Amino acid sequence: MPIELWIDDGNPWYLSPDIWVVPGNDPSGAPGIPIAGVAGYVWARVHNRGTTQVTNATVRFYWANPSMVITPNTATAIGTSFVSLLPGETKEVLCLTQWTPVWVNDGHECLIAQAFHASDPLPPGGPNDPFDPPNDRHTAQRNIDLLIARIRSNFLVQCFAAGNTARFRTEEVTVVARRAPIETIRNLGKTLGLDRLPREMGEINEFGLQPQRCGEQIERVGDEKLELKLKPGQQVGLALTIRVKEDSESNTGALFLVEQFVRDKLVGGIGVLALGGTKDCEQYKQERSHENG
Amino acid sequence: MASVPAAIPNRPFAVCPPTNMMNPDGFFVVNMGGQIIQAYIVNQGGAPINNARVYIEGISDPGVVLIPEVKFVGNVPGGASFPVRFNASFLTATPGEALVSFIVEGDDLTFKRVIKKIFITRVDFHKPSKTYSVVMPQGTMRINIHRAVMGPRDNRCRKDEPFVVLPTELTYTWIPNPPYDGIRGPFPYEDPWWKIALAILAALFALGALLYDYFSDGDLDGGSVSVSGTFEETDPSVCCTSVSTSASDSDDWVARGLYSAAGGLATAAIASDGPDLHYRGQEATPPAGGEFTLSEGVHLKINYSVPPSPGVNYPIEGSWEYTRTTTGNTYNFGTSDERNNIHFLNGYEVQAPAVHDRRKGPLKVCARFQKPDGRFFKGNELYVSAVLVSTYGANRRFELNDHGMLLDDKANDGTYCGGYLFRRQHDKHGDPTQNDQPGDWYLFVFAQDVNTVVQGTPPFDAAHTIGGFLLTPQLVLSFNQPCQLNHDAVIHVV
Repeated sequence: MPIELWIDDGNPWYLSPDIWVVPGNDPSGAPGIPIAGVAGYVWARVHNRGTTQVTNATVRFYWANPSMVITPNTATAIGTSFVSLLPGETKEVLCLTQWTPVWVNDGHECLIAQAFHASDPLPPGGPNDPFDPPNDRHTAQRNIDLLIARIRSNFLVQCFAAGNTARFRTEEVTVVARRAPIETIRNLGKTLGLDRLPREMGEINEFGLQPQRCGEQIERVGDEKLELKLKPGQQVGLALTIRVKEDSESNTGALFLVEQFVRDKLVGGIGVLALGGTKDCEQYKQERSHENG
Repeated sequence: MASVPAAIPNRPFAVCPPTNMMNPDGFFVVNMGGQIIQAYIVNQGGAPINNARVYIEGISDPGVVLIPEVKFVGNVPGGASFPVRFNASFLTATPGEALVSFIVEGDDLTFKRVIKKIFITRVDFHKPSKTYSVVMPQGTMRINIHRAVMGPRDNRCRKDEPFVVLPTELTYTWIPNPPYDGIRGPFPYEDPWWKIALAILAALFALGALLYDYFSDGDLDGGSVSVSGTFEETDPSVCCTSVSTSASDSDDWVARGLYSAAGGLATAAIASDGPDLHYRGQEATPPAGGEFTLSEGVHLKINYSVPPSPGVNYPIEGSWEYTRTTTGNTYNFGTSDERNNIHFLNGYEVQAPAVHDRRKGPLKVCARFQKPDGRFFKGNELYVSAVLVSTYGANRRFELNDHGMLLDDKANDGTYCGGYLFRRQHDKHGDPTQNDQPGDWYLFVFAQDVNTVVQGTPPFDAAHTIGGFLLTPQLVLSFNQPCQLNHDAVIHVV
């Protein structure tokens, strides 16, 4: 088995534990969630599971607006790094080019990392072909954000986009929202910027999806499943809306997964961790911002 | 498992590939395109690092295009400081500070990541006003050369390209961005920029053919340029009507490197070293409360009382006037100074065999360099490069180190050693045209001081140290008579 580069997927695959962000000016600082307007560093954990040493493998880092279908054309390159690995070795690789999440979507962005080498190249693909982490060990994606319940405000809203590409050869797209156990993201550990995972929040019956442009008023929860007709290359803005109890406890949370399917095949997704408590989102993020300089 | 006990105490610096010499203060220059990133890595432990490997993980400026490479260094003795060098193109780099992440590995040790700053600048030229400018995040420095002593290129004068350029009268203006209150604004590069801007500019003049689009106002589209015609007036006196030397490489890179060093050194000697005149001008012109400084300018006249040969403790005179323009007033301060070049050696010695047999392995060359206070430089205090010039014009370059590895017997003993393996006809190097011919080869050994300021040093303290200046005196400049380029040894290669 020659060189075999991996950046591991998560479970589900779009929640990779091998990509994370360190907000602030110290790349060796504590990981956390990206903060809009605050520069940070992106890291990737790269494995060589082959039997041959690799020198000067390339690691590319991208960000993209929250979307379940991301292509090289819709992603933005952050920077490039290099790594050398012995057989069986794993290294954390730093992208030394700082990345500043933009204010769109309150800083929520998708991150993608790819590791490859001339002797272990990426699979062929065009600029409009979506990144395909589940079928490409070189590539992984991290796509999760935190939403924090505001006291006296019981709607949590996460904007994102669903999309289509010619490679799917269909205009029928299904998007589904579901609640998942918080245990699902245990392997993301402290890269979420949380000291520990929250306890499961009580039952949440109302959550759903609806077409939405970010900033528009939300007046209803929406549906848990949307059937969309999208032409190749088309994207549509959607919102995940979650109604939480006004007195949701701090240190509790609820994980939601929004996933896009084409012919029953999962093609992309976003994880949203809704946190209970009395802090509002801005307060929380400002605290994180201060902590990270 | 313990991590590799490696550190990089000093700022990595730029080496110009054709001359193999360090740029002034180690700055990377966009206009120069391809440059070498060189860093000295110290084994801070008492035990050797076995099978040390080093590579660059990444550079924060995506405009710097690195040629990725792993350097296999070998076994590094405890306490030794070893160099690593990587090639990169800076043509699309952004002026300012950039970070470089080095990964240092060794057998049975966890790798160590060391992140260091490097400094990148770019020089533009505005033709109508004959103004050079250096644009930085903290401001813009504009330089007009009013007069300069220039010399033609040897007997092989080409396209009026100057052989040596020594500015004698110039004005520079610093436009801070944004305007600042108080006596002085933020320092670019943790290192007052004006200190080295002149040195860099003067050094670049002799390297014209290396530079891309010097005249393009920053629109780099990749052509070689000449500096002739970019000064308002050239002095009628001529420096170096020709060069007297036994050794001349076909592309003149040995001479160009030395003349570049001479120009940079001369301007630094009067403008930057010691009590920096810009700093003194600021001190003498405190603005009134509530005023913001819009620009600062220095008009400098340099009198070369003797030809400013590198590596010599020569005197240099200058008169200058500092002008501060604020939102409410204009302030001036002027004076005259006499300084001395402080970048010189008390002496140096080069050990090389008179005869070298190519069949017996590499040629070994060693050297020692004594400071003015009598002590010897050691370890990573110097960047030492050597060049062998054949009688048929070929040149071969290599470095000397005090790291206790390869041809150097002991780390940090003050003796720098290195060598060159001559390529013979039967060697498998693949290119018969690159065979080294037997005969006489002239050896030059150049030592440049390294900026030893530790990262994070307060800017004012950092300002007292400039590195990258040539300490060895092979080039003897003269006015109105031939200059001399003196070799350190002649080696008969058989």
